[in-house]
Amino acid sequence: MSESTPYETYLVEAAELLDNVEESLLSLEKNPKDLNTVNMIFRALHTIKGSGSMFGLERIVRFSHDLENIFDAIRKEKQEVDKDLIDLTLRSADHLKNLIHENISEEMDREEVSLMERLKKYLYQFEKTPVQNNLNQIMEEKNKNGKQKTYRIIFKPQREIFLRGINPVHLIHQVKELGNTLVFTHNDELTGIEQMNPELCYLYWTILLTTNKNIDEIKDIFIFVEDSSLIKIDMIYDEGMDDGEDFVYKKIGDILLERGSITKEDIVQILNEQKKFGELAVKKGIISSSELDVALVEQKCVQENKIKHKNLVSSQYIRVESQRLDFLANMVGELVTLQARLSQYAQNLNEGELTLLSETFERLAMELRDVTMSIRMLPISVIYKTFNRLVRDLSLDLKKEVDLITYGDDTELDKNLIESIKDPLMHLIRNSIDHGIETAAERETLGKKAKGKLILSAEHSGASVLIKIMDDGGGIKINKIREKALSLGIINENQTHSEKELIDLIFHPGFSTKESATDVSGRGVGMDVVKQNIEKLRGNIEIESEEGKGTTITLKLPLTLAIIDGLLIKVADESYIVNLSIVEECIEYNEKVINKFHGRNVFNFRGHAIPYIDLRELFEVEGEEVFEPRQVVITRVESQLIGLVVDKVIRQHQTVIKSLGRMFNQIDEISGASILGNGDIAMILDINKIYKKNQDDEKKKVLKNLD
Amino acid sequence: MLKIETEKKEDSIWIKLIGKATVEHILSLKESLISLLTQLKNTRVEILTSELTHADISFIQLLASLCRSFSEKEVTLHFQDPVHEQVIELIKLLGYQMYSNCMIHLDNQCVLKKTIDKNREKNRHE
Repeated sequence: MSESTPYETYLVEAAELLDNVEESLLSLEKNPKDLNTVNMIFRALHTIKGSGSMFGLERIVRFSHDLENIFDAIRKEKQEVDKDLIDLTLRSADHLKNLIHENISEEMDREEVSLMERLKKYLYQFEKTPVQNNLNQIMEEKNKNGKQKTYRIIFKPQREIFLRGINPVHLIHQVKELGNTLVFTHNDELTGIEQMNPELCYLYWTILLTTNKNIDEIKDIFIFVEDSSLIKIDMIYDEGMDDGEDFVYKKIGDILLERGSITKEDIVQILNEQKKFGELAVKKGIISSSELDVALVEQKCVQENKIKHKNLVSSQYIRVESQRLDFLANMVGELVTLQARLSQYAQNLNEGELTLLSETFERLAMELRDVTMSIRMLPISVIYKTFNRLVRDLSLDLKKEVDLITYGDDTELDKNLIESIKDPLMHLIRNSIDHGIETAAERETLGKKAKGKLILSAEHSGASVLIKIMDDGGGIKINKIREKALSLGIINENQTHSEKELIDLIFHPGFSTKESATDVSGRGVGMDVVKQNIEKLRGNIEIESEEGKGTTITLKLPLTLAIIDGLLIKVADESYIVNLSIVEECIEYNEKVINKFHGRNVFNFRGHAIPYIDLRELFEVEGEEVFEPRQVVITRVESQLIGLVVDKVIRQHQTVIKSLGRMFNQIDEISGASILGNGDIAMILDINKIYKKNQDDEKKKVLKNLD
Repeated sequence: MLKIETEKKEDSIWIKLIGKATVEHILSLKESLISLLTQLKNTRVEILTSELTHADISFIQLLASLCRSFSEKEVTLHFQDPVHEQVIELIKLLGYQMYSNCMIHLDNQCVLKKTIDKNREKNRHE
């Protein structure tokens, strides 16, 4: 697996920062006085500019510079936030994204000129605003920005940093911009000129920074070198923790011990000599004179700040390339498969020690699986952010007023799943705004509030996650659907359909009741694709709608795509897996309770007639049953109980899902495969598809009999 | 482009640097300085930076490394006035002014620190 270059990391980070800017701008539009948001936007623009300059991206630097200045003026309250400014900044952020992705065209050049002109107008406006009394401003700034803290930053770049086009001076300079600094160069790894390679960096630095900024702002500076360099940031003084009493900061020995320059044994040995500690440490060659210098100044710096408490802050988060997580998940998948083989082998041998080892291994493998899956989880708010902008822009385009409300922002899903549902969700939101929510005038006529509501909610439900898209628009007009379906020949007049069946017709390819296509949601293309995409993810989609009141679309998705808890079953010699999350219970098959109802197979399950599917019949298995009695697996699909008649229920099985490749694409009933402990392959059944196919087949049979 | 001119004076050798003392040219500067080093013993070397157009961290690092090699040969390194503004700024930014003592240099003072101190004094008088 290749490592990302700092430049690639910059591109990814800058794009993320711009997404955050976009989200913050939308929030600022609602609360224009929110200085925290203004500061966040300013910092993001500052980082994009500062790091861009490190890679010589002059166009990005130039463009973001003006934007940064405008937000600097806003945070200093020289400039107010208005709707035009939000629009301008959103467009500018889009433009920056294009620059980052190198989507350069003549049109983009023209856009840049136009945006720069508008930005300059803003800059000119506030530059003319009379500057208030400087002293007052400084005092206000100090009060506003809170307590001072002193940080010790050790920055040891990788030797090849010059060759990677990164100049450490820029990073030190950016740290200096955050407050008062004392910078030390460490020369101790530097050799004489004959031995050194001048294209490598032998220097490293200790920086004492006194600032009111938080540690994250310091970390941001090193964001593109943190993987390749040693960066240690410790808070060594916090004004907020200072009780004002006289205090003597740590002794030199303590500082050197904390920095890792010296051991406890060295301290004891030197103290025994009862001489000046630092000088002795240098004289003994334990530390260099520069190490002593840096420790002395640190001691002095913090004593001057009357330090009372130290507060060590260590990194809580690290960034990991998503490919590495995928690789880890695959490896864990392989491990789980191997564990299944081991379990089976141990079971066959029935040897005490091996069984114990196998069980311990199983427990650890399951824990590892859960941890690995949990680190692949991302909150759904990651994609909610994109939708804020989408709703805002669509509402403006369609001249509708729409309020987007989100719930369950922290609901976590597998990252691959999140990536896969973004487009379907976007399509559903577009549909809701375009076809569902009425214009303000229409709504007022109907006695509704002028502003429509679009609610996105997410919540966990067992091993699934439910995502709902609810609007308070006009709802789906059932009669229109019926008429359209008749005109398209999808249904005929003799057939009777429930409301749900009619609503589900909108998933039919090419189906639309809209008279004309719009730029927004097109002409009926999409709902079938949305459904297919959701089903590919082993999920399902349901629509509930009330005419005049609104529509709710519910997506039910699995939490993860990689490993599921499955139920291993057997039909003749073949093994199959059913997703355990849909299994209600398993019972013995009894011919006395089976029946035919309107030509359909049903059986009596605790007084209820539920449909059943015999997998032997479905898979056209020949030969006699070898297992007696057969068993029925009761599953629940879209709130409907369905029985699966199988030869034998084997056991629960940790199922590592393997895709089947293109050859099996056409087999709807199978959604994947898994390798069993004995090396055999078991197909994973898609019960939803099996049920639907079975229903269609039975309907055809009934119609044929009627004819 | 970096041009290196050397001139032998009565009690010292002057090394004049013209152009860019940056990482692109740092290998050639190193080679030139090494060939010079072989000829020196008990000498004073003056570096002239006023005709530099650019300098970067690799240049400062090379000078610090040169200092180490010079100390073994009892050669002292000095910056001839005026020192290029960018060189002064780099030495300051990189933190050499914090050195209170230097075990390499004969007079126990870091030459880079001395350069900044001298420059500060000069500015104060002006």
